[in-house]
Amino acid sequence: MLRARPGQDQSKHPAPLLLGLILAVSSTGPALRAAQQKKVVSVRRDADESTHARFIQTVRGVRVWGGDGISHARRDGNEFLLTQPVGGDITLNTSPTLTSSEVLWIVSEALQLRGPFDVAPKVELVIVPELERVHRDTGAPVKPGQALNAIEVMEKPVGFRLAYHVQAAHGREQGEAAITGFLVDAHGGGILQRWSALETTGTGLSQHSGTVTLSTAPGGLGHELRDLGRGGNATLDMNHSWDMALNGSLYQDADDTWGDGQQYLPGGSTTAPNGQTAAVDAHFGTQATWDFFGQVLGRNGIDGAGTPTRTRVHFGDNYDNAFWWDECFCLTFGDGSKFKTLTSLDVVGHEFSHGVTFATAGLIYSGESGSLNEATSDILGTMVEFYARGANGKGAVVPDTGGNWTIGEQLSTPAFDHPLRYMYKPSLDGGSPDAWSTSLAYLDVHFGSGPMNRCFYFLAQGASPNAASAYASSYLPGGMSGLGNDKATRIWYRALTTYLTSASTYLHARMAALRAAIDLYGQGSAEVQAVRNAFAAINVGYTSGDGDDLTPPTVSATVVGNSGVIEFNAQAQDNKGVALLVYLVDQHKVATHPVGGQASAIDSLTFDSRSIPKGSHTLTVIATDLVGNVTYSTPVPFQLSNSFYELLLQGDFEFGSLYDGGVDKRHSAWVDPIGIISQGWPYLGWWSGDFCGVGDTNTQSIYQTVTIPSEARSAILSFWLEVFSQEPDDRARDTFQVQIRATTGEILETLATYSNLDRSRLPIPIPAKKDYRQHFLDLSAYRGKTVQLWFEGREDAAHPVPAVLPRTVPQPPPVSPVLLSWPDQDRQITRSEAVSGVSVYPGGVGLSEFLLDNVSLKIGEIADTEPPTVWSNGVRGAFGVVDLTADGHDNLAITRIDYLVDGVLVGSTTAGPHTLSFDSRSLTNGNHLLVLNAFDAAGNKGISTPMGFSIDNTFSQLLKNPGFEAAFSDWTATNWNLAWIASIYTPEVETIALNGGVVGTALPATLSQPVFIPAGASTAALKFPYAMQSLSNPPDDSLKVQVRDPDGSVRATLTTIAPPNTDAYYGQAEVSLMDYRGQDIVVALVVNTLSMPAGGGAIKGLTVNLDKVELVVQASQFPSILSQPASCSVPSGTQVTFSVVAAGTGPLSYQWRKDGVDLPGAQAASLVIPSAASRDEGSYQVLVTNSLGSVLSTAATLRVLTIVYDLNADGAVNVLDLAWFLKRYAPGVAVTNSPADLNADGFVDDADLALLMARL
Amino acid sequence: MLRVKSTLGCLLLALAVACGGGGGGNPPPPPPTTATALAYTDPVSTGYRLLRNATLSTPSRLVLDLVGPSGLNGQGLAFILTADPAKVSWVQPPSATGLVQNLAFDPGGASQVLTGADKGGGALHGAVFRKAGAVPLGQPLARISLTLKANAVPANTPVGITLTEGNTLSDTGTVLPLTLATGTLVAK
Repeated sequence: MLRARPGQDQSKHPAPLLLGLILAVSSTGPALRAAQQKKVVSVRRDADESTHARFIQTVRGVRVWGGDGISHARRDGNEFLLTQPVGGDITLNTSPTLTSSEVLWIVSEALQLRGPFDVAPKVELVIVPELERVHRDTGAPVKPGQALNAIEVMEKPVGFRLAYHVQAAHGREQGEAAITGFLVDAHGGGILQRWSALETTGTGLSQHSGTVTLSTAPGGLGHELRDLGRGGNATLDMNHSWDMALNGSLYQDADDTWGDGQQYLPGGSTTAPNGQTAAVDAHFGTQATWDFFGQVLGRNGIDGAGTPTRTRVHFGDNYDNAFWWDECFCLTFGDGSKFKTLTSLDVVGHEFSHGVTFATAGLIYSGESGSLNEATSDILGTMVEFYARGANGKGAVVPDTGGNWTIGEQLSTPAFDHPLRYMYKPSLDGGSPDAWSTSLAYLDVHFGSGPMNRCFYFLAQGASPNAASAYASSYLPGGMSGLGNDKATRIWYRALTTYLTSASTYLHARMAALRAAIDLYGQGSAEVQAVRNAFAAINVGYTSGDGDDLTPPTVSATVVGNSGVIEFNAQAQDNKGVALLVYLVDQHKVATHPVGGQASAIDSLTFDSRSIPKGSHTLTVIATDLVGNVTYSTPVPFQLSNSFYELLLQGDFEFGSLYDGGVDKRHSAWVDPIGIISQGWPYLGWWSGDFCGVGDTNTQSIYQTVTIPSEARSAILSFWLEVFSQEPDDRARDTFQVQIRATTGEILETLATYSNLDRSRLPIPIPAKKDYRQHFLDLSAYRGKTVQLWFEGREDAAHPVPAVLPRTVPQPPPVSPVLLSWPDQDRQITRSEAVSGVSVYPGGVGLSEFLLDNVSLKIGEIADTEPPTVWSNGVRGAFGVVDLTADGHDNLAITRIDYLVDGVLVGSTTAGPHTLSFDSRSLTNGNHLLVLNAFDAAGNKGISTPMGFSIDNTFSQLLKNPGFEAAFSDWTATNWNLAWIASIYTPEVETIALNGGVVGTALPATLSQPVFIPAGASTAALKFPYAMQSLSNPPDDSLKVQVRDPDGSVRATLTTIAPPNTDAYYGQAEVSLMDYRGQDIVVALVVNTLSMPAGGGAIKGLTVNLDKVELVVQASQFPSILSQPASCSVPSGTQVTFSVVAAGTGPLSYQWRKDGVDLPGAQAASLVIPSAASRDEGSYQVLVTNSLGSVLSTAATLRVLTIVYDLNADGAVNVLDLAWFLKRYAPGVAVTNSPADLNADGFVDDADLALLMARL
Repeated sequence: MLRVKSTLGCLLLALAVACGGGGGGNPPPPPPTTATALAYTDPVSTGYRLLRNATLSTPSRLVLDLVGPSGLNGQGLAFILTADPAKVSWVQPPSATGLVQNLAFDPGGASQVLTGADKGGGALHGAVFRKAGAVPLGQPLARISLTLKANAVPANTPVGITLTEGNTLSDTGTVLPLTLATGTLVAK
């Protein structure tokens, strides 16, 4: 990878050579699209010829937010350091969903602007790491969060997002200066981060600087405040303008005598002597600061190149602040009202120093880096004060006298009678902490700066051992001696300019300062120890040098077992503690175990050896200690002898992250030169293969080399694939192939080809990205061969395609609706997609994106007798078409799953996802059983545990496409749009509807569908969850649920839903439509569009998101009798029971009648007569009643018989009567008055025989 | 050994005295005996009759088969038999499930009509029929059984077994009185 340019004399340029090495680390091979690069933005060579190259990291040209670094090379070339190593390979699709103009709309809305931005905002697409703070030391005793030292936590990226960084200047219309930074999700539109980017003194003050000598230039009226000796810095009059983009007027004066030394009188001329005073202070402060940097630190102006700055005064009216603005490269000061004019020397130095930070470390102005940014300005502003007043601005040393350790103390007025900040004891301001804690990152940067200010004070002036002193720290009870302002300044300046980067934290600052002190004063010097002490005094690191440990851990590994589940064991020791063990099989990561910072760690991992091939392997364990030192164990060989096993490595792609405790190794088994494997839209887990999606000619592929054993009887490749495409459905334009190639790369066979024709079921221009399908391919033909398994995506040339769905939003150009975050109800929402909505989406360029996940190549070497394991994850739905779900696993592959409901086969699936849509209307209402039979290729059968589910088809849902999964099919959607939300728990993409937006006057947004409400419905309810948020304050719109006639006229507004305030508002609406039974109606949901004034400005209105709109009816269930009571004739004394079985909408009530008269208390489904007597003879009926009506059963007659059993009339009833009975026995033959017809039913049959036998 | 010798000596003496007969006062009465077996003598009849089942009978249990006249068909019969309850008891014949066992009229089948009950007083009420259809009567039609009451009957005591009443259902559907020949039963 290291190549010198032709003719370059490498021996003379060792530093650039090393730089090239560093940059080559992840600028991987030839790629069809430029992937990840590090781009050098500045190089500084010190007097000792060490080189410090600042670089930014980009992925396909998109900058990684906070991903900048510095490579340091010494002259001898034998050593290099990498300040804040950036995250290695970052793989991310860098095509944003949102346009920059849409993002500006979102920002405008967030700022509630009524007009345009003050200045055209700066918009940059960036990649934002999603950081997770990890407790680095989990060893006993565990410290609570607030007791943690900065060295005991670390931040690691857990993912990346594509976002827009927007720096928006605004506030003119509110009479204030404001610059707000935003990170806006480039796909979902959500605001990831927002901060004030106005680098100010916070609530700053100003102070006159007495009689000073100003460096002016001739011109204009005679003299002007232009400092030609200092790059041409100019001081300008804003004359109360709030326009941040205004340049201002250069101050001029005839006699070169400026100002009157008095506080500016409001309303007075800004150019008269009184008005000049602010300019005098600002001009003087700027030249003093310039000299401080130049003479003490050797820096030529703000950017080191002598570029002049502009200093603007009289900004706005009574503006109580001052600020540095990167875009304008200028300092701006207000006149103040609560404060004096904010041009005191320390404040000017403070703002100037923001410029220096901007030009060097670029500390992001939020979180810990923002606090360091702000502290740097306090520190250097204070040193300017000491230098200008203690040394009279002369010489190259910062004295320890002449200044003070408070900020803005000269700005105080009776209304604000104390300094802004206290560097020696920050908490005196009532808001700043004195020491670092885990919560510091969440503080305003002007408070978060406190600990660093104090650290610098201790470094310069020492800390008191007197615990009661304001100059003492409980973290450094013994106190410390200071180095003096000069040394402390130089250390911090070098740390700032040489080692700090944009996302640096307090812990980074410690290391940066230590490195700077080592550079300046040598390893082991008192200055280095003083840096340790000063940071220890603010709870960042320890005085003993913990965290500076360079001793790596020792580690060894063993393997137990050779088949099935085996055990990996690791032992590691470290002088500071072992933090992490990473297990590698054949150099591919299989597990990461945090081990809690123990000095001696004994760890084990149970590992399913069937997940890797049979044969020889090696286990390597990487041990990382608490401070990031890394050791690889000696590889341990082991053998596996499974008969069934996985041949592919890392087929789930979940080896992903590079950041396991600083183990910057990818250990990928895949050859993936351009970062196909990335976090984004996996089938399972977090990682997947994301192919193409470029929209123009390109080929993207990954492969893995495999040797299919000659003894393999089965070699089954399975994988999950989702195809998203904007291509029209006319032909296969973009393809995804599974190929077998020789190890030379020659294609031996294309096993399968998929294309845009196989795309997701949703015909939408946004990736559904949760519609994976499982595929199987047989590779047994390659047994005994070593081949490459390729997955390759190709797109054809870009070509416009029409929008998939028609535009529905009329002119003027619509503005994007706002997608709300849905509350976590019965699902876990992980990501949201696309604010754009089809109505504003202009079609595409014919792109297709292929998503691959969970690739597996299962080998079987013996006959398969192992049945699959199968289970159901439940039945979704309780009426109509329901989804029967199945899942399972097998040692090779499940080739079919049969679905049996109540023992009857209702369908089968042959590949995942195993979900069968089943019309439950073939079932009776009530409980049923689902059993799954899973089969593998060998015919082995696995049976699931039966799962009960309940069906009630008295309910039905009348609206079509209720969840908008088929876009707006069946709906009439006027000024409504769509967005998509994916869930990790279901393969479906949740499609939601949201009202649109327009520029100009709001328009009605109506979502409606015709429907007939059955006349006999017992319930009819319109139900839908909603999420809404008012962008107007107070809310001025609502969502109306209307019933309309088919011609569109409004019959009734059934309910109106309005949020009480501007907070996100969620709920579940339910409106009865029972009054419309038997009628054709149109249900309509009505709200206005969002609107933005034609000239720009704040967005107004109510944004509404709808997920699923259903009209659930229950069929009329008048009572009906399924089983009538039966007549009977019984001998007297017999117990008689009359029963009825009835159905209908419950509750049902019963009333039995005898001969038409209600029987008191006879109100159950059965009537029991314990001992029938002749008085009980009669006609019995039951009246069944529910809320809808009653039904009367048929009549059942009871006859109570007096039976003559003495058939032979001998005066006794005994066996001798049997012959007489049997003489007449004739079942089925009707008889009349036969003495043998004992029960008098007209037949001499067994019933009579039974009666007789019972008496014998 | 000593006691055996002594007992044997007395027994021999007693035999000698008895055999000697004549002179010398009244002879001692024979020791009282209780019946331990039922001795049944089959009747001499060709009609309905109760015959001893020699296979199933034991000394203490008498098994009787009711056999019909040859050459005739019938649908069944009912009877009330009486035996002295102080001497004998009606019991289930071997392998039967009741006091009367059906042997010919669809035994165990769906058309079988069977009942047998001890109604007290030594009366056994029994019936064996088919619901429909006749069978040849010249075969064992029904089976009953008695046992001797233990220690209750002196030996050689006659035990009466009589038909109280009975009827038959002929193959023509005619109900006729049952004439049943019973044998002589003596408790031995």
